[in-house]
Amino acid sequence: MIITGLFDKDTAIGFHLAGVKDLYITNGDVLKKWNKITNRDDVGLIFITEKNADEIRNQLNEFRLRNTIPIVVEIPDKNGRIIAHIDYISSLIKKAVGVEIIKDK
Amino acid sequence: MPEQKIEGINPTRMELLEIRKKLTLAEKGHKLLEEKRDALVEKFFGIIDKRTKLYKQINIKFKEAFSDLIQSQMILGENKVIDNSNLIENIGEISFENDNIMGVKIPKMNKDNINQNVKTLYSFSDTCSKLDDSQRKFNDVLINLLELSDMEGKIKSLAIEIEKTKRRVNVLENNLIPRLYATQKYIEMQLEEREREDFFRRKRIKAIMESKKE
Repeated sequence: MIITGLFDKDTAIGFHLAGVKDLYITNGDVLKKWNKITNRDDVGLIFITEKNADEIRNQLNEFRLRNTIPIVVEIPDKNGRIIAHIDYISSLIKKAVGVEIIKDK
Repeated sequence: MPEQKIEGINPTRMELLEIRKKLTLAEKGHKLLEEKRDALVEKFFGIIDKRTKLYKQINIKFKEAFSDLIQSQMILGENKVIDNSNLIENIGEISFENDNIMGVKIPKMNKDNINQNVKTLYSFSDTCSKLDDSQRKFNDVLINLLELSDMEGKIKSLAIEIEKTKRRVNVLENNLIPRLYATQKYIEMQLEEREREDFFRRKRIKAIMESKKE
């Protein structure tokens, strides 16, 4: 299964350099590109920048609930992590255990 | 919370036996599920610790890689970087296997087909060292990211399963078992009451019979 990503232009260049070729570059049409990715059935891993992820938050959460594979991982873009961003995995942990374990400083 | 018996149950000896059977089964199930939950949580915490460490590392590495990329873009120009970025070997593909922890299926990433060090095919005389640096750093980040995504997949499956198990344990502990106990008590009381009535009736009849004889 292939690795793919839904990135802005600069992040896409970075991943090109790392050797990931099958990328989708967004330019204001995140949802369209996202649907293109989810319609493929050979995708094993989707990287997505947090900014793009925030735009399709509802679809993304639904997709994650329904599928174990592909795994969706949110990565920072060139401006770094969004500080107020709610990390999906942290919220999962909070839901499962009942308390917040990860404290970020 | 007031104890509630199960509705629609006749206070008979048969039902009492049935309830007792159910109660032992529920308690056994409760114990097993509790053990399962504890084992899952233990596994979960192990992965979370690793994931948190890796997550922080990756954030730092990403920052460095991006700063190198921006510098190389400044030196070479954006278009040239894009051109050269296409001259890099493909990283390869991943596959998934299923791991089994306490009967929970957990995806496990198989990275055998991943090219750990992709070859660069662009010319060295045309490019700058910053491009090489950023290429190496992004590759490094990607390898770490694969590991992170493997963990996140595991965490997701475990979290969902833990939630389910927790709900089951709670239902057994706070709802089903107390209700079974209450029903058992209710049936026992009813039976005892009936026995007392019976006893009294027999005594009474005996007294009447004796008074008639005389």
